[in-house]
Amino acid sequence: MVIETTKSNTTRRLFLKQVAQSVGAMPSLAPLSLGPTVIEATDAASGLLASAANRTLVVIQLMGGNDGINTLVPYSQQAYYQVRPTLGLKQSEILPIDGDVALNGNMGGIMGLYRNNNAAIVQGVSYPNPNRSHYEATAIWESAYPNTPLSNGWLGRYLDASRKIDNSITAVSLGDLLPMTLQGASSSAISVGSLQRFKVSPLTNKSGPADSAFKDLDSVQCVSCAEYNSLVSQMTQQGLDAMTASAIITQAASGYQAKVTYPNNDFANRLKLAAGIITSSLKPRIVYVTLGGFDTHANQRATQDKLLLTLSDGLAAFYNDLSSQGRANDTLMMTFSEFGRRVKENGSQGTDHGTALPQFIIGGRVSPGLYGTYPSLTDLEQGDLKFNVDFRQVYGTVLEDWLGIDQTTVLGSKYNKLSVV
Amino acid sequence: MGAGVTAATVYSLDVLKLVNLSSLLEPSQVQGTSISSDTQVPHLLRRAGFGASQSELSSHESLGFNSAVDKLVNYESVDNSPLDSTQPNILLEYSGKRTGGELNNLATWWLNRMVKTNRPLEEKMTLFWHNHFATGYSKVQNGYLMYKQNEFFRTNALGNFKDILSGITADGAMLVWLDGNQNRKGNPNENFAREVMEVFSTGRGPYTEDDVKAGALAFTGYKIDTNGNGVFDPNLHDGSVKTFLGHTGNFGPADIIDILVSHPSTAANLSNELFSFFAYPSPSPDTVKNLSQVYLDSGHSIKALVQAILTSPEFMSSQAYMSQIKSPAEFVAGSLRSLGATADPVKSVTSMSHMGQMLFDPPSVFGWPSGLGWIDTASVLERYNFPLLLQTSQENPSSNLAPAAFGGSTPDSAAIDQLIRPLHSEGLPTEFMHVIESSTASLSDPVQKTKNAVRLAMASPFYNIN
Repeated sequence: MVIETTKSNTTRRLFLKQVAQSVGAMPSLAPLSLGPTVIEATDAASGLLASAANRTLVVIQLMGGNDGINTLVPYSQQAYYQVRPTLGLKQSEILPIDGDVALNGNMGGIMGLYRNNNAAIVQGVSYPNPNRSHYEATAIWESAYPNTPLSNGWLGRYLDASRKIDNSITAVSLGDLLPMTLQGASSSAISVGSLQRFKVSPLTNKSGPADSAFKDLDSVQCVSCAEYNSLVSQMTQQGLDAMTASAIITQAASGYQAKVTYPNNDFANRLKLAAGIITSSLKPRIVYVTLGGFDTHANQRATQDKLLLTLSDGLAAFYNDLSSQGRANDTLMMTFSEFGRRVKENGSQGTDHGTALPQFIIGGRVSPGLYGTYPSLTDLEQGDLKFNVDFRQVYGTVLEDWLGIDQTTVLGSKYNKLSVV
Repeated sequence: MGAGVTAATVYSLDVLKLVNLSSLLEPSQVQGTSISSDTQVPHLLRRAGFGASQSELSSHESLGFNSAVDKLVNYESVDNSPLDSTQPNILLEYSGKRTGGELNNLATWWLNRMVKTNRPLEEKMTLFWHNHFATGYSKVQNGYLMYKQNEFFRTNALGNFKDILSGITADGAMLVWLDGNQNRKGNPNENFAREVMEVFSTGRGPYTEDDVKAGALAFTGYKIDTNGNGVFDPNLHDGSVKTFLGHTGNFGPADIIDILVSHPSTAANLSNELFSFFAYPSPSPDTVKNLSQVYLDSGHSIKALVQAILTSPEFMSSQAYMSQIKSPAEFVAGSLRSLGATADPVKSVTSMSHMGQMLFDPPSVFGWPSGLGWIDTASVLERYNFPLLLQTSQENPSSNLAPAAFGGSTPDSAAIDQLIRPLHSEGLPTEFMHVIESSTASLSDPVQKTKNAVRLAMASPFYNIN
């Protein structure tokens, strides 16, 4: 099927300082058609945003729908071993947090952070009438509008609003093509796949800056191009933004010396790159990393155990590195996944699509502990867990207490916050 | 579950009705004016293929637009035997073992097909189905099954949708990808049952969670045999009575497929998706309605649907012309094909993956993005750098990209224009040509000058837009 990732014809900008200066006038901001009110650049709003100036939010997307029940294990609920006859984790395979719940035994890294009071776990997170389609559920978590299809994401709208006050605010996505979460109505984020490839190689036998001819090409004012659905100007603007971003990221990340040894896998490599960018002069307000493969309809144990190990060891190394660099108190990590999985395991030693799941919040300034209550494994709705924390409560908390912005600006309503930060 | 005699008969009859059906799309309903006649065939060859060399373009232009469409659509009569005898460098039998590098070997084999085929629409439709039934090597982990699935898409590229949906239901790679081989009586697995509606046929809307559960029961019973083929084992099938999309019976896979292929939402969904692929996104409700009728009246013929799209006034309108962003496959295969250039195959598919498109490994069952979804800071820079891989005939004798004859009586501007015109047959606007000329003016070596001019032409928006 064809997915229109970007429906808007508005040119989404990175709003990098350098670009803004060279281009001059800022593009007009298309008003959002729905929900969020436009932020007023009042002194109060500016002051609040400035309080977050040194902070970074790191979002970790677990793609495919992570089985929350075998991540944060409700081992005291008798039903657990009945609904999970083959997938149920034995006492020797879990790391108890208290008498009720335990972490999957592969999550020693996050357990260490939890024991050191640097981690919080929000239990039973979802929303009313949960959607079980990967596509729709992902769009719901990314847009934060369950009942209205939007083509922009909650952090994209944060960028739209915050850049009206401070247009140096940047976001960086490490990995695949840019997620909807970071697409605003008028803003976008830097996407870096691999640091080595994130530059324009010079033209052959040409002196001067490698990218000067490409900049000339993208600065062309083409009179006859207007009829082509504005794609020409969108492409040239993307090109200019990409070259500016390349210069900034290359300078920021080259020569970064990690203070810990990261695990040797792709996810950890990207976290290491994230640490380099976070500690650089770029000071991105948002960093986005993905980990895929959680859609465990069959033979879940081997797959999920390995993924949770990758996640947990990666985040522990990342936290410890940032801590050694003196940045742990300025960094907040948050995991999310489009849904948890069905309570009762299926016949393939796997689990089908479900609803509520836990979210992990990690950082030096986190108020540690468990939030919300663990949903019952027997009081179900269509075979799935009933949620007790709305994911927009978590977002609202992060927006107001970490990023320094009124949550209604982004979410359209006020949600009860958690005292997690 | 192969093509039945009845289906084939209906299909051939309905192709005859095509000309009348496509005229249902009244020009008055079409937004935008018709594009000029000299842009029509280049537009067609970019959309229904991967661009064209100047000689390929000339031969299609001499046919005229309608005959060019006929030739593209009725590709069975075009000899492709040299290419069809090539096979990927993988283990060509089913085994539990993975062979090293098989994903790259599959991807380079397919890229070569896109570049060399004499049947561009066959290959373009194979890419369409790969995206529609998006199946990823990262989970299937078996090169042979991925290869077999790709050949199935090619064989049925413009086939009957019932055959296609039946075939993919029993396809080895699909059975692994969406766990159909785990879906057994007493132990249902919903993965395939959900996606077969949401992504492969009706799209979201007409079904409920209960339909997903009923569909899962109806699809129970598939397993993969020792040759890697999906086989239906009645002993593993749940024969109970199910209610599915308002129908009740002791349904099996064939019954569900019958319901799905004839469902009006499937007709609309496929029409919308194919139209968006070839013409422009978000067609009008009238366009979708008319195309849905073509699909239903032709007995689910994809050939009828595609021919109706390519000959529609909408396809030829200014709304369609230059309205898409090239996918990485179109960007890379298009340059190799139109310029006749060679490039290191593994480095080429690696570059495509950094642009966001690893062939045989789409990111999820929803396939790849489209439009501006392809474009971010990382993919733009990758597009600027890919042309460094293109080899001129001086570097590789099998390349047809000859360095332009600079420095003679022909001015540089004319030499550059002639060199890069295959990339965009209508020619680049003068503003972009000036940048290319001035950026290469100081160079004297024709090879360097040629390479730089081609690279900048490919970085220009006019090569990135389709």
